[in-house]
Parts: sequence; C-alpha cells; structure tokens
Amino acid sequence: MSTLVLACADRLPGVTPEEWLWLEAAEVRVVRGLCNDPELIARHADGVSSLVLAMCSADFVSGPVQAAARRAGLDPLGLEIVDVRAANGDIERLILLLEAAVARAQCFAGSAPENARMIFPKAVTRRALLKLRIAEYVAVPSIEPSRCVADRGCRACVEACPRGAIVLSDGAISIDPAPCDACGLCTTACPVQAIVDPTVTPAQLDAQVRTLLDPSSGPSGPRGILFSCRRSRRVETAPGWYPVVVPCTGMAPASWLLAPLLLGAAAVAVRLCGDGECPLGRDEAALERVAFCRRLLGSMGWSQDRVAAAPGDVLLAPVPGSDHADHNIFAPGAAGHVLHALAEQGSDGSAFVFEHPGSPVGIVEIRADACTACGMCARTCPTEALVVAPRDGAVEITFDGVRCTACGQCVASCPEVAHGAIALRRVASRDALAQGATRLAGSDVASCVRCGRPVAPHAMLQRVAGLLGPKERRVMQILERYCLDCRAIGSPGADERESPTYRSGGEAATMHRRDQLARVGRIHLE
Amino acid sequence: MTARPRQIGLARLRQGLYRFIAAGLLPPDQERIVALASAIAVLETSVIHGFAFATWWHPLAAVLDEPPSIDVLEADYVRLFEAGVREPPCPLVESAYLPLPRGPGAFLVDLDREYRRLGLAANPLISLPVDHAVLQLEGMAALCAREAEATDRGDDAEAKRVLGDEERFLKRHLARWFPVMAHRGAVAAGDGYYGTLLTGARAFVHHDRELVTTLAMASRVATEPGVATDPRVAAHRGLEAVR
Repeated sequence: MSTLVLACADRLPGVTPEEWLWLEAAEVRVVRGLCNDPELIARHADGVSSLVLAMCSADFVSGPVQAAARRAGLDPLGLEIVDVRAANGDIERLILLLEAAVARAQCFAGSAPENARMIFPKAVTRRALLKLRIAEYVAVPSIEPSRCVADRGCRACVEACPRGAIVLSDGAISIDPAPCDACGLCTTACPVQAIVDPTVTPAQLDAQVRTLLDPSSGPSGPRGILFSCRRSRRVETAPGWYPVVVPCTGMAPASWLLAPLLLGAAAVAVRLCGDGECPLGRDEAALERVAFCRRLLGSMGWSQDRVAAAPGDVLLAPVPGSDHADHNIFAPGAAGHVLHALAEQGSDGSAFVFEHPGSPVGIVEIRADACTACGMCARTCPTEALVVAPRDGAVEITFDGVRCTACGQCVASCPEVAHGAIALRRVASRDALAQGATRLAGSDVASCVRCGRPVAPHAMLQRVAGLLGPKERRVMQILERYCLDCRAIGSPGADERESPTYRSGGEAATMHRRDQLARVGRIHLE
Repeated sequence: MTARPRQIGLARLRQGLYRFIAAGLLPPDQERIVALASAIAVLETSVIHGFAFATWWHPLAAVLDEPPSIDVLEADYVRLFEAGVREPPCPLVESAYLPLPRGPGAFLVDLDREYRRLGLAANPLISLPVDHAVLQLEGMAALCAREAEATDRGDDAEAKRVLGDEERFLKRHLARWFPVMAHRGAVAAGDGYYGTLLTGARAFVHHDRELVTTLAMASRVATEPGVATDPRVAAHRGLEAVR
C-alpha cells in the first residue's frame, strides 16, 4: 500500500514535468486530461492507500472525483487536492506543496459514515436535487463517545456551535447533521478531541505544517503559513506563503496561529473568506484571535506582524530556536504549552499579563470564603487543569494554568457560582503558564465519629448548616458526624447513643422528617 | 437523463439496497449467500459509487468474493444476534435499544399500528418479531418501491406522500436504532461477513435518512411558506459554498 500523487499535466510548470516531479514519500504519475476525466483517477489509483491530486484549478466538479475515488477503494474524504496554480510556475514550490499534501493525506485515519454530508444545489427543490448527476459530499464532524466527557458536565461543543446543531439528551452529546454547516468550531472547542472532523485532525495539521516548514525541501528563504478557508476560491500564490486549508478560518484557535512559529514559520496569516464576506459570519472570531496573537507577540517582545489577517509582503526571519517538536501542538489541550514555549523563546523574556476575549487560555479564580470545596469544578474540568485531591485530612483544589483551555465548564458546573465562588478570566499570563499547579482553595474534612472515614469538607458542612438553619441543629449533627454508610445503615454498637438509627420511642415521631432532610444532605454531599 | 427517470432509479436502488441488507441479516443460507455475492458484484458496477455509503461497501464486496462457510456464518450469527447463555452483543430488534416507558408490549402494538398506517403487514408465515430489523428493512424497501411506482405513473402527490412516510418511519424507527446496533455489531464481529455487512448497512441507513429528509424538505419548500427560512435550508446554502 502506498501514496500516489496524480498530477494533471495540462497546466504543470516546466517542459518535462515527469522528470521534475519526484517526491520521496509518494509515487508521482502525471496524467493528461485528469481534470476533465475523473475516471482516470479510478484507473490509476486502484490499490493505493492514500491519494493526492494535483489539479489545474479548484473549479472541477468534486462529485465525479469523489465517485472515482470510491471506485478505486479510497475514502474520498481522505483525498488531498493541490491547486497547481498555487505553485505560480515554481516547480520547487509545487513539490513542497505536494509533499505537505502527501504528509497530510498519510495522516488521514479514515472517516465514519456520519462524517459524509451531501451538499445540495442552491435551489433546494426536489427537481433540482434529482437533476444532480452525482452527489457531492463534504466532511462534517462526528462524536467519539468514548472520549466525550459530557457525563462530567462538559458542554463546550454545545456552547460553541453557532447553529444549535449539537444537543445534549440523556447525558449524551449528539450532532444533528441537518443544521450543521461544517464550520468545525466544535472540533476546536472540544478540549478532549471527542468531536472529530477526520479531514482536519491535529495530526494532519501537524504533519502538513512541519513539512511545509522543513528547510531541507522547497525554495529557500523564510516561509509563512496561511490558514485559508475551504470555501474560499482564492488561489494563494504569494511568494513564501504556503496555504493550509481548514473548514472555516473562524475555527482556528489562537494556538494554531502561534504553533507554526514554534516549528520555524516566519509568520502566520489567516485568509478571511471572500474579503470579509464569510458566508458563515465567522470572520469576527478569526479577527479576534489574530488580535490576541498580535498583542501576545508584542508582549513577548516579538514583532506583532508575525500573525496577521492577511499575508504580508515581507517575511521576517523565523523565530530563533524554533524547534519545539515534542508536543502535538495542534491538539486542543496544547494551547497553554504553545504559549509557554513561545514565552520561553521570547526575545526580551519579559512577563506579560493581559485579558483578551480571543485568549485560548485562562485563569481560574476561586474565592475561599464562598467555595465549599465540593470539587465539582475539578470533576468537570476536561483537561485536568483543576484538580481536587485529599491532603493530610483536608481537601485541596489546585489549578495548573498551562492545562487550562478557558472552556468555562468549571464556572458552569459550580453550585456556588451565584455566591461568586469561582470565576474564569481569559487572561494570558506568563507566570500562570510557568508556575505549575498551585493551590486555589481547600478545607479540612470532617471524619465519621464511628468509622473514621471522611464525611465532607467543613466548608461544605457549614454551607449546608446555613441552608438548614438553627432549627435543624440535630440533623446537622448527624450530617457532620457520620459518613454516608454509617448514616444510612449504622447499627447500635459501642457508641449506640451516637447512632442515628438508634432512637428512643419518644423520638420516633420526628424521624420521618429528619430522614427526609438527611437524604437531602446525602444527595448534596454525594 | 431527466429528473423523473432519475427519481425512479434512485428509489429502485434504495429498494434494492434495503432488500439486500434484509436478506443479509436473515439466518445464513448457502443459496442466499451466493445470491448476495452476485448481487453485490452487480452493485459494484452500478451508480452506487456516486454515494458516500459506497465507501463502506467495498469491504463487504471483498468478503463476498470468497464467502466464508455456512458453519462459520451460523456460529457468528448466533453469537452476535441470538439470545444464548449471555445477552448477544447486538440483538436485531428495535426494542433492545430504545427506552420503553410503556413496556415492550405497548411498543410492539404501536409499531404494528404504524405498519398498518403505512399499508404494510408482516407476512404471517415469517416468524420474526414485529420490531425485527429484517421486517423494518423490508418495510422501507416496500415504501421505496411504492415511491418508484407512483413516480413512474406520474402521480407526484402520491410520491411526495410516500416520501413523507419514509422520512417518518426512518426518523421514528429504523434510523433511530439501526445505526447503533450496527456499530455495536461491527465492533463485536470484526472484519468478517457480518462486520462488513453491518458497517455498510449502518452507512447506508444513515445516508438514507439524510437523503430522504432533504428530499422531503425540498418537496415542502415549494408548497409550504416558511420552510425556505428553515435553518436546514440555510445550512445547505452555507455548505453549497464549499463546492
């Protein structure tokens, strides 16, 4: 099994393209008339494992191309297509674009049936639909339930979807494909990669960007990475700039715009759709992130022009020491690592702290006098930036800024948020990224007078006592002194007077009401 | 080719695929496997490659090139679908997958009523539960056939009504549980006949739900005011820009 590059010969630069087009990672075949006869794809690609097409333009009808790929036994969503015009007549540039496409194609891990969405003519009528000769499909995200942490309270994708296509029912997330417009915002909002667009995975982006920035291949000189929308028809030919296609530029988080700088890019740009006329209305989101990156770079002592909303004319030299290659820097939880690594390479080493709506990281603050140390925030946190852990008879909540993705799930899950117990600020702070896990809140834990096991944090018990009021002092005593097991199934023993289940006849009349309250306490404590 | 013959061809293709999957999920039989192998050879040369689900039919075609023995298939069938000492991983009945607040009896009565409303009734000679996958797939095949016939005789109103029935039946029944069952079954079955059949079937049912929903919506756009502003229509127009 191998990778094949099929290149249409009709507009290839150079007089003898067969000799010039040689790639290390794939076989290349140059075929005349490929763009006009997609059946050639089926003929040549039979038996290959991945396929890259070098087409004369992006104006071909994709339905027959996809059908031909299927006939060859390939998943059409894994096809990588390079517009030969983007090479601008430069064979070295073309080879680099093809090598990067090959790297991306080889990282395609396959799609699921739910990932293929049929696209339709503008006139949505039955007659128009049935006149379609061959259906065309575009990739849409799907959910990997085994990774999803919705059961822990995460709703990041639901909140990110601008179409309301992601719904939560019976504790599970599902995507309604009908309203989904395949913008991909949910895939980058999901902090655990449970929502996957198989055509834009972190592994694919990583492979493509690394190849585009590999100095051993392609034209000499500094290179820029240009994130462009797959809806765009524009051909990127600016010298030194290399396109990376994403479903919508609005989906690209700030960490994606910064990550290529760590891999040797001189600059990164976002090509907004059609001169600010994004059909999905996501240009603002992209501009906000660009603004954040520029401010961050400025704070670090770098030129702000390294990230821009359009490719610049002059490319600076790459960021020195840019060899941060160990981490999967396009993964959703990697934003903090990217910022931290850039800060470490910052030219003046100055500290920075600023709040920005486009920040991919945040700082969680907990008010000790309002927090009950229940740990809901930590249990919900999908990236384990917040952790609750027992320590020496107490419970402690810690926060690691480098892991935070500012998803805000901790705030949404906090039962004391109305009392101002927790707040998230979209703050980029060098110190917060560097200092590791720090203690935010905590409380001593009451122990069961019978078995010695922990009952609940004192802070939580105080809050429950405040809710129950002084009239329920007896109930509070039970809640404070006994763990769940001893409270529910305790039997008379050595300390039978302490036992909540041992009552004299005179107390029987009040038992029912107290049991009810105890159950309330139990639910809360659980 | 104009729209009408294409609509008839599409309905007939869908009918054939539903019947193919239904036959594939009946208890294994040598003659039937041979028939399925020749049918998929025909499908492989048809327009099926124009549809996304074809991606998941290639592996089945490869398996059916050299079908496994009936003994192997019988063992797999029992292990995957039939009740034994343990619960099977993917029973072929809808009631195993959906919450049944009123109990299984009421559910089966409702389903039987739904069939009757559609003008369908299970053959009394076939001893399958009314919520069995094979019956539901055959039910969809019958509706597709009805749509093709109505279109063929120029009765567009009837064709549109049948399309609405298909949409309703898929949403309320088959597409709600079948993909879940097929995914679970494919994981349990591996790469053999049942694994590839269930994966292909899952892809087709998912695709058909999308297709039928859109065709039905398109039918309504022209006749019902307000549908044109439906977010689904807007989403389709957004996706159109991808091309």
